[in-house]
Amino acid sequence: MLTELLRFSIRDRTGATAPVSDFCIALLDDDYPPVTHVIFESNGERCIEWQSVISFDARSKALIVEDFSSAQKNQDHDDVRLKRDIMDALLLDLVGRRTMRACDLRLNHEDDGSLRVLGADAGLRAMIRRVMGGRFVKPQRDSLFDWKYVEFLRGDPDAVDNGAGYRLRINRLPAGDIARMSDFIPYLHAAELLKLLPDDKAADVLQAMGLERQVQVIEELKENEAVGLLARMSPDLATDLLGQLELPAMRRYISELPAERREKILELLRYPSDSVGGAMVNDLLIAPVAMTAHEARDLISEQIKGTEFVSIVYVTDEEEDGLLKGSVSLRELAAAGRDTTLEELMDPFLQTLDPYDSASESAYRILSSQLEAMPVTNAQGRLLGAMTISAAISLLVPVAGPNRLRVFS
Amino acid sequence: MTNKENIEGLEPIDEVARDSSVAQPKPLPAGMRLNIRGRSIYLRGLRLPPRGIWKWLLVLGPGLIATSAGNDAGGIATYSSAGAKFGYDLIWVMIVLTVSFAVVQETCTRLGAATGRGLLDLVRERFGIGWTLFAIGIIIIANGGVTISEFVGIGAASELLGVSRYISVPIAAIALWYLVIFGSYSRVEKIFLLMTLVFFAYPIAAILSGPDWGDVAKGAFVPTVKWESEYIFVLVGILGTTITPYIQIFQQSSIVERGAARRHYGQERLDAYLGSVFSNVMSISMIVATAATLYVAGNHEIESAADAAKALQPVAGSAASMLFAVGLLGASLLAGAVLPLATSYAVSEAFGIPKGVNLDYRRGKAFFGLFTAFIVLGATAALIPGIPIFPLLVGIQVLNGVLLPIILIFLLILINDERLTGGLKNGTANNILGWGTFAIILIAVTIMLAGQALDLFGIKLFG
Repeated sequence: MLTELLRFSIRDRTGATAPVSDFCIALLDDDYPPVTHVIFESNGERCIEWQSVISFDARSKALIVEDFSSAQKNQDHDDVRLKRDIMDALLLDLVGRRTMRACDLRLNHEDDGSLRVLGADAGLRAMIRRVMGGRFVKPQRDSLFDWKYVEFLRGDPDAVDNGAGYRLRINRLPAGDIARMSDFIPYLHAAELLKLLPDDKAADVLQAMGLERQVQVIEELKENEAVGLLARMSPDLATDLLGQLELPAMRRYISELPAERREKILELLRYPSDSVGGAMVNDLLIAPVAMTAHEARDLISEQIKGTEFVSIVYVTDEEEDGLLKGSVSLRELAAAGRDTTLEELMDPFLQTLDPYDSASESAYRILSSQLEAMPVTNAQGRLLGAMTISAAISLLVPVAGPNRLRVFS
Repeated sequence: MTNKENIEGLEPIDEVARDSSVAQPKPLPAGMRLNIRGRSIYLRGLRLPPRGIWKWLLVLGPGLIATSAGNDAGGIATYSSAGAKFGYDLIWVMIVLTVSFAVVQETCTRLGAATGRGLLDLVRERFGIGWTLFAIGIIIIANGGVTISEFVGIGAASELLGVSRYISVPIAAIALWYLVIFGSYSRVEKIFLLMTLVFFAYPIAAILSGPDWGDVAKGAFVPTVKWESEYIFVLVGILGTTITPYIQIFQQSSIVERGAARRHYGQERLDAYLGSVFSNVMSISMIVATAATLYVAGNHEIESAADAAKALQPVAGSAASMLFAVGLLGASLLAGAVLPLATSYAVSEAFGIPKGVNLDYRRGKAFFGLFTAFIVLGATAALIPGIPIFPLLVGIQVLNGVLLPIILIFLLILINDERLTGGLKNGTANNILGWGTFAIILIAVTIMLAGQALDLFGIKLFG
């Protein structure tokens, strides 16, 4: 364990000794990163390559080297050190989807002579062992976290741009899991985490975070990064986020968005946030009423990739005013005969919402009617968007609600 | 399956009568006209900047709550004792202390906003497990003791108001527990802010006690120092009561939970300053109220806040006495929730476990469990007949005295770490004031600890 190794000294053939103070690792070289240098104190901080260590002398607690008198003064302040940087730092356990603090680190001396980090110990016994300087308390396997599934963050979003190394295994988690983990770490760590992800995934993670956390995180990103994520977010969720920002920042971000996305967001921003208009999605599959099923399928296959809500195809008239005529589910459209027209296929009996209706009242309507979405039209019947069942659920079910009630269950 | 034929009572969407839709236009919230890329658009979905009184009220938050919680049962006893023993002579200390207090609280706020992390979180990373365990050990013991004293305060105040402690203490414990376990952070913050209104009882009590305002002004602006042991110990007591570790811990953690970020730090800074000034104005009011009545009447011995309220009755009338009791009840309730919360924040931060009032119970078992344990401990112990609260408070004062300089050193080192705080690192003026405060506190704590150590051997410091 690291606490035991930190009690070692370094000794050369002449018998000179110096206390070991830390170990540098090559974080990205392997799932179990190897120690590259030993840091020790001899007229200041010096470092020597791990390859120079000839042997361990466990009895006298010494690392034997040929000669350390010519060891370099340590100049590299960007290296990753076990004691300075990783012990006590906030680590992400990707298996348990939780945060922890390493009280000790397990290292293994491999047959090839390398010393590798195998895991982090966050248990109470590790804490006691640490306080006792590595004495008395033996490590236990069940409190060890496999280093392969641990992510180490610096708490500095700029570290990503400055070339700090990351293991990036976090990319394999679902966006929702990453977002939940981000809610439990400091906002600078969350911003750093977001910058590690590919843009599409980062956008998914950002929109799954709590709104307050979204605001904190996006303000830590560079403007082009923030705009990139906003453009990839669902327009209604991007609108919620933009609506919370300070006006100058909001105006800048909107101005930089791609034109089509900008129009959709501005349309949504016209409505109060607690209204149907503020909760609806306006990125829908739309087809004209006179189309045949075959033509509509071709049209939809072009639209579907960049569209947010894809379960229902809304059918409008062929004029430019886009009056809503009815709707058809994607399943019905796929199963319909080639020459069947949408007019024949569609359900014209729609319940619609007004964009200025109360969002929470309308959410109840959607849930009680068990519809996937309700279209939103203006007074003239023009299709503006749709309020989806997922928007309704998120309005009516507070995230913490069910879990809190378990106190009494 | 959809029946496409007309059903009675339902018509296709395009045949619905348009003129029957809305009888009256709905009132719409105000929006803002914005010019974006040359287009002028009226937008209602924006967070409008607060205006008028809201602009100022929304500034208030953790700063006001944390500093007001410092005026708890122990604080009221200390300030009342200062007024009863030395009249207006110690008001100048409060004026000087306000600057130090504001500097310390502002530093915590800035550190929280700059890093998004609580104090013990940073201590663990920067100073290691040894210092963290040392601080946590003291925090748990000291805060546990103070929590008991808060529930004793709730019981004493309610009895002054005619309600038995065996009724008021359990009700208060359940109410505080329910508020935190089932409330969101923003709701808890609002209720805590409302609870600070009760402190206005003290300025009113001070006015009702009819002080000589000329003497008050003299006490405030003409420093008086007496080299007497009692004077020095009351002075040190005031210092230790005003600047207390749990206030700093709570403030920084709450700033983090509130979601304050380094780019919007101005509002939080104002909250820290306003809170410090508000809290010390209330403390001065307590000194004035007791100085104008008890000191003048020759009643100099006050051991607890309840003693002060009782003693006020014959000299200042029942209104002043009742106001003191109401103030004590509100202050103890506020601190009775803040102390367990501060402890839960500190322990969770130190060990990297999820924390925060906003958590659901499943994820925050340790956080809420600790909070619950502290509430149960405080309420249960406060109902034990004849609990020796005065020796308990003396012991706590010693522990907090040991911890306070260490916390201040941590704070000052952390806030000066540019890697951590970036542009929000301490400037020269802040450093002078911060280290000056640390020096004053170190001297005061040394005197207090030396005095108490010598007291064990029957030796009196300063004769």
